Amino acid sequence: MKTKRKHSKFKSKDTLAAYLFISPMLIGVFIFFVFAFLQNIYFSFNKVGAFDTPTFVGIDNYRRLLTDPIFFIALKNTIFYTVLGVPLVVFFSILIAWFLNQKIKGQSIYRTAIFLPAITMPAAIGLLWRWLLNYQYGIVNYIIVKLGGTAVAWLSDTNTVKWAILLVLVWSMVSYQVIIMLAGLQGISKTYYEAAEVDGANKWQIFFKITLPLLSPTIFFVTIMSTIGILQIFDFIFLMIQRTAVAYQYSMSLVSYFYELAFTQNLRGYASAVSIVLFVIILIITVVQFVGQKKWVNYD
Amino acid sequence: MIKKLFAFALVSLLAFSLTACSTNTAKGPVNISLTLWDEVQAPIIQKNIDRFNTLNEGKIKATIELVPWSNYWQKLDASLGSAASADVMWMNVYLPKYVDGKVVKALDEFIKKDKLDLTQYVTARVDAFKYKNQQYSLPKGLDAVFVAYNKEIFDKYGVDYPKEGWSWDDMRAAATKLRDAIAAKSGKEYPIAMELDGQPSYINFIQQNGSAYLSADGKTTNIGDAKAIDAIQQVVNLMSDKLMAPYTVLSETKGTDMFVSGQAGIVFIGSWKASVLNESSLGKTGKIGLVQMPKMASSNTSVLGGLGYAMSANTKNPNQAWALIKFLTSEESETFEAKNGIDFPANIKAQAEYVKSFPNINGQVIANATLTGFPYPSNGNFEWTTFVDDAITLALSGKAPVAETLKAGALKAQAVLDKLNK
Repeated sequence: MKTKRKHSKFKSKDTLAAYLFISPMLIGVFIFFVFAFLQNIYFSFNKVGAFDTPTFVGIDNYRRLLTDPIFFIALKNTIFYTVLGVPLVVFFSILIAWFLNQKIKGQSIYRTAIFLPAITMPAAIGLLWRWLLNYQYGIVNYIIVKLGGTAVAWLSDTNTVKWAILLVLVWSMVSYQVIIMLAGLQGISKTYYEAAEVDGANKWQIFFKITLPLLSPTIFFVTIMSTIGILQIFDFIFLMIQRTAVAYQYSMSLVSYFYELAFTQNLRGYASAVSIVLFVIILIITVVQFVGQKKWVNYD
Repeated sequence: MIKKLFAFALVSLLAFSLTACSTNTAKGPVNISLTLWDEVQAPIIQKNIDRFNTLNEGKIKATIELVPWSNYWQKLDASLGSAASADVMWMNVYLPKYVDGKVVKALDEFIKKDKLDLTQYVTARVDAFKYKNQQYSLPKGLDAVFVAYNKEIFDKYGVDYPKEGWSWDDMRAAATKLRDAIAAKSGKEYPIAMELDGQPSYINFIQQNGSAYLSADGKTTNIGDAKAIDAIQQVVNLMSDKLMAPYTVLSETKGTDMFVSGQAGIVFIGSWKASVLNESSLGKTGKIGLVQMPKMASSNTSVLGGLGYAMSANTKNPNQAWALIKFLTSEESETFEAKNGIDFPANIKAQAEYVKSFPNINGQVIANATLTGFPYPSNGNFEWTTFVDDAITLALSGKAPVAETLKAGALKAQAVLDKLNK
């Protein structure tokens, strides 16, 4: 009883200081996230132009979504990026992290090289890849032609453009996730490996029976983060594909469409409805992942 | 205790920094800001502003807020909506949206007060900034579209240069000769290149073929009619006949870039790229020729865009903002811009200097193009234009049949227009 009271006293004294310390961040979160989010929900039930005061239209915006073919194209593309992108990001980040965790020469050079994309601005990455993949002058096609293949119009062929974006997306996302995976790998106690070696387990058995299960909380985290990240894809499409090229119509994501509606067409209410749908999709997928994790994630 | 003191200090510091920006001293000159997007023009305009500040020493101090084109309009919308915008801003065809949003100020009272002579500007540009019978912006410059050709390529393959008064058929004939000669010498150049944006390309073709991107009253789009379909089909044919760079190439490399790097014989180009042509290595060696656009079925008229200066409705210093607008569109300021070749002046008296400012290209062609141009088709709404532009883009790409695609796009766009006109 005594200790409890002491504890709460300690709490009240420090809580104020703590709140003061986090207040700059908290104020920002409230203005730019919480308020903006609530306003977005409000807008999605209104007709909002560039400067108009909103007029209430009920569920009209959502009803319009159901008959909007462009919305479904954007939705389909977003699903494409996510369904293929997330497994690729997870696979490559485990693979690369596992290699980086081995005792190899020049380890720190590799680690730096792998991490570089994570600290590079998306704008730079987008422009870089736009030139690497350029149909006429890109180095990728140059190599393909030198090797006897035919040049591929990565960014303008309507069949390949989504794959090109997926490639850049995965390349840029893997680097950050590798660091998280690496931390996860290093958090696994050496005693497990020593015990396994004593018992005569081979490399593959160690990897699948010890490393993977013990890494599963990290894998789960990376899966969640990359799912949310890819569902919100916008920057690379915006940077690599000219708006006036037809490839844009074949590669646009939900956020691209949101941007287009809100800032080019000035249909802020309708754009809000698109973003709310995306939010609900992300919410459902994340909830499903959290429920599903019980089946495969191992917390020591 | 120390922790508490520290927290208090931190919070008060934060609070202070929040108020610091609003405790502007009332003394000294009135600050006026001008927002624009063009980093090429900014240094020249800065020099005009320096002269303005010297003239108004101690009374007004104007500064430039440079915002890149890619987020200029987004930032403008946000700042105007929250009443924190610059006092004066660059304006273009988007004007009606800002008037309807009541965030820009009509200039009529100032014009009347100062008895400003509006006939010193090109009438089409004054009218372009008139909306609902009020003047919202004074014109800075205007853009026209014309054709640039690479003399080196024409010489190399022994084809005659395009001549004034040429037709679309003449262009096809010249391009065919180029194509065959290029193939014979296994060259890598393309006869024709084009930007995929509407202003330097299809908005002109549709008008030149006797149709209209948007009717003069702003209520109908004609891109679904036979003449518009024919215009787009002719461009598609240029590509399928290999007279123009393939769509794949055009969508990854800008037509202008291809032209100045010597990859294309002919390009349709706007006057906003005039200094690029003039400064390019091709231009410096006198290899760039200019000529009016070729005539299609009805004319060779080209689209006239252009910028102006508008005033924020929220400005605290409208008189000073007006002084700046008046100064920047005066004969003196626009002559200075023209001398530096950054914009074709809307102020008629300043135009002569522009032609002289391009030693490497024939600026007179640009000046002539502005005489026969038509105003940029816009009614300030960009919901219908998205349907139109997407349909034309799809048709140009060859992914879908031209006629059906344009008709379907026109139908969707017209539905939006009809709702607006109700």
